[in-house]
Amino acid sequence: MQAAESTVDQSEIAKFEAMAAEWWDPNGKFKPLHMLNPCRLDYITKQISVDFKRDLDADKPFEGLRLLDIGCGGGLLSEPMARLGASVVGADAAERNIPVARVHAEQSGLDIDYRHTTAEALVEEAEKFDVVLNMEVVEHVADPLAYLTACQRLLKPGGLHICSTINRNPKSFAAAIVGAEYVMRWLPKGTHEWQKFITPDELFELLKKAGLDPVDRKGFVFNPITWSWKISERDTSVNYVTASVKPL
Amino acid sequence: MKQVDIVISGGGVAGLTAAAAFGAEGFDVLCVDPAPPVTERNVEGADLRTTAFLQPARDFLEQANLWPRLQDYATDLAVMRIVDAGGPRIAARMTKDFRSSDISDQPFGWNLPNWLLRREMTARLAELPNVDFRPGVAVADVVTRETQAIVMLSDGDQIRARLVIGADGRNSAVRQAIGVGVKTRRYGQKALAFAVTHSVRHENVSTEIHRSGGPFTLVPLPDYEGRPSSAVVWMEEGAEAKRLFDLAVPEFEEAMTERSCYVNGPLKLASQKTIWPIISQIADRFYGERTALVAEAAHVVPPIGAQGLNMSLADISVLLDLAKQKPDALGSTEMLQKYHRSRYPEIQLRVTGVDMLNRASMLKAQPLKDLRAFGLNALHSVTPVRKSLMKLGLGVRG
Repeated sequence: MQAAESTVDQSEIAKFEAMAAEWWDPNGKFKPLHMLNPCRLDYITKQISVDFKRDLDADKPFEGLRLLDIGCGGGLLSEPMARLGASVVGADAAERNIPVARVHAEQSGLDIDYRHTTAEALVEEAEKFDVVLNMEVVEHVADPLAYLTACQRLLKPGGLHICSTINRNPKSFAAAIVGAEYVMRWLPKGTHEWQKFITPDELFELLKKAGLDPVDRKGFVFNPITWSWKISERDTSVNYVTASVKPL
Repeated sequence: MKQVDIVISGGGVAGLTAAAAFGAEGFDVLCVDPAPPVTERNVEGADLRTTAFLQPARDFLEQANLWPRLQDYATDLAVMRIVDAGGPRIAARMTKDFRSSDISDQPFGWNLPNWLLRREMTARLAELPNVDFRPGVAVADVVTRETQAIVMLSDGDQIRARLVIGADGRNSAVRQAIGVGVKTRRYGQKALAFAVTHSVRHENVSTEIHRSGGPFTLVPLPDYEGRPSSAVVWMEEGAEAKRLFDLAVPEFEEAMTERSCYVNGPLKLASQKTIWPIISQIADRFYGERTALVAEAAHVVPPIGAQGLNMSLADISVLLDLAKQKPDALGSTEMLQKYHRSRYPEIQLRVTGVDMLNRASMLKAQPLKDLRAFGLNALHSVTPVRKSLMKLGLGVRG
């Protein structure tokens, strides 16, 4: 890896710009994330606003909050969080995502600290956050409990952990793998391994074992008629999200 | 972070009753309402409607320890008189009495003015150390989590509760915050409410006079300034109701006396008038996560047969029973689904029933009005049918 960004050659930058354009194209390769994003953002902003008593109508409601976006990808969540005033660290274990996210943040005029690193490595560096966003990651890791424990250790006492993933049942298999990967071709085949999916009850248990206090779960439900996602109190059968608090 | 068992949004008769009832069982309660309650009769904003508590509602007020404060002000309703004045002239052409003594040794119900209910109920809440009543404060937003509800108040405070009770009326802010829809039927009618005095004693008879546009109902009140007095609810087609509302007092008195078919003699206006639109409405469901909807937040019926508030108190009674059975499960999905399942079918039935009564009373066409009188006669003449109807109306029988 190059010593400094200034030494990155121009063709590399052009390549990252092209990849960023791809990440941020609402009808491109990451269309499912773009479609889900308003729903995810709605949930995340509401949860943060109640726990930190922030008024979402204010100019920069999340000012003064330090937020970690794990698995930040192209920055689809990091950027709106930075716009709302949070001081954002975006982390991704996939090295190629980092310069892509950086290029786009620069184009958007946002100051976001993107790092090629892992939750475990950040714990080693003694980093602490008010909020950890952990969206659509836990179903891809080898040891979910170790991973969630690392997330817990990254939180300040009273901090908020938001974690979304996919349920494990025949319906989620049909929707996430057959539907999204094979039929709709939204995601590359092999993106998900169904056996690694976690049910909401299992996730609640894991979160408790990791030292967190789970307080909420909601479903993200896709409506094929309106072609949009909505938050559901009751239907957590496929995509769902949880909120947990680190005890004081 | 403030934490209570229950936040009640709404300080009307239903909300205050809920606060007293849950408070009496030892739950920590915060009750808020954007408007301070008006607890005097002759001031701007006083709620001049009256509430007739039917037998089961009275039992519930007894249980909530509210009845001892109220009984001295209550007027018995011993007879419900239904008058059909649907002939070509405005005159009673058929009068049928339903007597509570046919089915019970108790009156049908007890009538009280709403402003007085608020005065006595807020006084009762002040005695309960575990109940905090904050008038002048509204619910700004509700965010619910699986484990609790977080209520944002208009004074900037944030309260966490295991259960939120939406008792905040037909345009319930709580219902909107949790995204529950409603089905609404509009009749184009408005209701006028006011108090009157009259020369003829009411003898504890409540009289409902049907002609067209909706019923004109006189409900007994205690004497006012030395004269017999009644509360009136007068329903009319919207434009006509507005015209009546704007009449000068002598013309208004003349109009209402004629409409009353002189059953209590000439009527004198004895209060300000209030006017509001008549709708019937039912919420798509009576609960959301950590939230129960009660009273007009869940259902609205036209003011006929004293059904509205009595349905509301039954909501609160069911909710309280569920809370007492499993206090630890207060606000859980299981509890709230039980509440919904126990109330929804019954409410649906009553909303439909009152809707039919209202539409029968609004009839303009003469043959239909004649049919209505014939139907009333038929229902009344068959004793078992009459008694069943009375019990059904009272809610003493499902």
